[in-house]
Amino acid sequence: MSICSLVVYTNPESMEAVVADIEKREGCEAPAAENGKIVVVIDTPSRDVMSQTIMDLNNIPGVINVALIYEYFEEGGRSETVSQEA
Amino acid sequence: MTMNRRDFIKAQAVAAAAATADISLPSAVPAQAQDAGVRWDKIACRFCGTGCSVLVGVKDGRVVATQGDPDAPVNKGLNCIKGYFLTKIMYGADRLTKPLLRKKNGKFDKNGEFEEISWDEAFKIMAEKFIEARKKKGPKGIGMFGSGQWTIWEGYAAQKLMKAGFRSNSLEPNARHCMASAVGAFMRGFGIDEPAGCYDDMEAADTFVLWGSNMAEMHPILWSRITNTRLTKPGAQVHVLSTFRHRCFELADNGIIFKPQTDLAIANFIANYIIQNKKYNKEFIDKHVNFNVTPTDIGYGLRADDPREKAAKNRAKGKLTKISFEEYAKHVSKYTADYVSELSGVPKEQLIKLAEQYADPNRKVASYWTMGFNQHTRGVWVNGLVYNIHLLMGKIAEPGNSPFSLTGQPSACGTAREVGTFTHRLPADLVVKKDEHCKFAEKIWKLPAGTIPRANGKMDGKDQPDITGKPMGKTLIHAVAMHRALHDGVMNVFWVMCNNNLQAAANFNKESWPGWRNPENFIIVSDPYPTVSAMGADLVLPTAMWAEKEGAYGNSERRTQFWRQQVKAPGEARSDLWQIVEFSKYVKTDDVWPAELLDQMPEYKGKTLYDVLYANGQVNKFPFEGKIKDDRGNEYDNDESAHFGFYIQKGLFEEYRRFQWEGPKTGHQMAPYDEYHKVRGLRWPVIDGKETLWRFRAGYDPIVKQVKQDAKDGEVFFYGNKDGRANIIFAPYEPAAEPPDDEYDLWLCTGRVLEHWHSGSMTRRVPELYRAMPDAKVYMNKKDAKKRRLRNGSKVKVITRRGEIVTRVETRGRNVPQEGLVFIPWFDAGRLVNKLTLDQTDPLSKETDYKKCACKIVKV
Repeated sequence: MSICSLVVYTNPESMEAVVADIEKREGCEAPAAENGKIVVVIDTPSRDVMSQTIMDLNNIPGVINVALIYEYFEEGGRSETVSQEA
Repeated sequence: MTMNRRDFIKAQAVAAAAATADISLPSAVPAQAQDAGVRWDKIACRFCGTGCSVLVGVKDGRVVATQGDPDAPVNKGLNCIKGYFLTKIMYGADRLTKPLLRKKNGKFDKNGEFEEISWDEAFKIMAEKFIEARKKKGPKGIGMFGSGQWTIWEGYAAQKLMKAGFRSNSLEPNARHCMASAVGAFMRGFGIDEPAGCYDDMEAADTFVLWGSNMAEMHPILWSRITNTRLTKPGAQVHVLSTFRHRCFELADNGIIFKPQTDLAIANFIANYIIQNKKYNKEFIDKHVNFNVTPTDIGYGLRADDPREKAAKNRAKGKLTKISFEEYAKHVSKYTADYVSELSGVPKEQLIKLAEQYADPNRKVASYWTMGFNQHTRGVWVNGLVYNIHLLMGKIAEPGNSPFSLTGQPSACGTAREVGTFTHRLPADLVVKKDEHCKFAEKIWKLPAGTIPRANGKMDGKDQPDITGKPMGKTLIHAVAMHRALHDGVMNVFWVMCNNNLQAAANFNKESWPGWRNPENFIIVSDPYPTVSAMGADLVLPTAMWAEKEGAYGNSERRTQFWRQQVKAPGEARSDLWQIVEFSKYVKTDDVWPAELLDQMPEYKGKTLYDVLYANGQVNKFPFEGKIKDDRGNEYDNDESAHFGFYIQKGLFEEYRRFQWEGPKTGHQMAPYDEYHKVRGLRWPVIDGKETLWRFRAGYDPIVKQVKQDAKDGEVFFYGNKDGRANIIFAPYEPAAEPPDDEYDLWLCTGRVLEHWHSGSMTRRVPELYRAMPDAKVYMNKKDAKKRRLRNGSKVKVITRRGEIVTRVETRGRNVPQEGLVFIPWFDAGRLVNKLTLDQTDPLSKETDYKKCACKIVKV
């Protein structure tokens, strides 16, 4: 299991185009975007795909910076259930 | 409520990103969700000098998760791309786990193959070689080359071992190649090291000027802070100066490409513009500034027999002469817009647009620079020229007005500079040139007076006795001179720790490599991986890194940050701290100290350096309880303290702190050890538990009122200098050492790329990063390529007067050089760009200029 989240910074005028570009990519979602800042989560079984995707995000036209926020990786991709208090 | 683990982690990931970016989510995720079995703790990042804090999740003895630390003021929850791979640097497939010695027929042989040996055997042969060379060749017969990546206590322990134990000032950090020019300019300008301002200026400034810094790739988190300000603050501007177009130009309001070395002229033009337009802050300069001029024609730090050195009128001279404001104005008056535009190749409008930002009293300006300024044969000068501009305007030491030197290593400031692991330095800005500073250090260290070698080898005007039987003599030797000394057989033992100097040092073919392989010499390299340096050594020591030990770093903004040991090192790998201190048990005072010195303290006769330096009743005074506990009840190992039987990191730090609190130079005070484990770092000076954001201004910096009781809030006092004034220092434009000519017709500039950190020792072990940027290419302007009938991807030979490498042309990459210049990154162990570079240095700071030599390119 390999999951990470990022904030992608763009020129405000390019933001929508960048969001569209990101959402086309394997394992990528952009659940929120505001003022040139896009929240991106990447969920792929492969760290290779993930790291390549991150590197590629840097090169989308209009992207100024890519900052990683959170990542989790575990060998084997087990799926467990966890409890949490609502 | 229950949810699938994957969804749970994903939700956490999204929530963390949204919180960091200050974006509200449609469906909020419950905060404070705990993931059972994962122990979270903070740790300072292993890479650049920004000093980001990262949260690390450990499960079953391995790091499984990381998160940008939302409570960290530096990175506010962000990580850069290298941060994504951070924990993977410990898990490279070729980690070294046993000491290795070159052997033939069971014995050491310089031409033998590496064989595994025990630590005991390693330290025995090291001690034999160290003692022999020290006795035979004097203080310069041995050398240690450390790092701005050493933890604070590793640097401090090394300094004690070399300067006090072995009585040798042959200790240098790789920060010499990185920060020495910045230090030189701070000392000349302000009499005290490190910036007045801090990262808070990145939100407070109106205009940002990057002088020789590709912050977007090298300091991405700081770049995201500036990006944020540029996009959200009305009227904010970004100006970028470089010799090639890079990623920062995407955000630039004024992107300036100048001819190499003409930054000296551009900075003087701005000063001239300010004076001609009468924009300077007269009150500020009357009260707080002295005007000076520095000697010119000072050479290029090459070997003395080089024609360029013979021709220099004032070789390596730097003594300042006071001048009047009018004389200063006359000096800079030559730097008109017309002249500088012609010289630099920058259109006049762009120069004026930049100058206006500095000259407008209503705009707050922050200037940033890194290696473009520091790796410069006039590095101290050019650092100073930017201080001149800020001082003329009084734009310093307050929020947003900030000339700021950024560091490339995580503890270039905290260790190399603050602890003082340079040949000429001692902790807290003390220097071995001053007898009283050495005596103070000897008192703190409980050593006989005269133990530490003085720069000139004399105490109280008399020769210091030495184990050689001869007078001590001159003792200073800087990094580049060390390689020359190895080459010439003057230095015979060299211990390289926590850096990759064989790959990093300039002029590999003619200086470094022959020096390392000189049959007279014994080279030791401590490293986690088989780097170019390790493979060039005679003895390799496997090293525990970063999260495998308790550590502390100091970042660019004077912030000191601690972390606890998170995981165990593999095999027999041991930290640098363990190696330094354990090795000291193998050498006795009698081996390296003369009788005259031991007679002063006969109780030290027959004692090991370990007894004298570390088991001295101070370093070993804090007990170790078997585990380190945090305030949340988590437990951590501390392998060094378990081995030595006391809390060694704390003992070293607390002894070091006495230099700050009791020493002759005020303004470096840090908080007690335990405090740093509780906070996200503190910026020194830390007085009454409070950190200092802006120095030299009463109200922000409590030291000002300590040294000047009548100071009113807001009043500036540059207390590093006795009269409280900073120095404006005129220095002219002078040409580079090796400009292109008819045969070698291109400038060669070297540097870094986003994916790799420095020589790639760590990042090249991360498969994803390796694949993203496997080889160093030569970045070239399309017109230059066309002239040579080359295309993107063409295989070429890059040739200088010193060597050649084969690589491929890149004309479409992220870096676009101006015509007449090529850029090659230095991370690639398979293509050593330092076979090409010239071992030229700033004659004042002794820092290498890796940015300017002449090359030619031919098709293969």
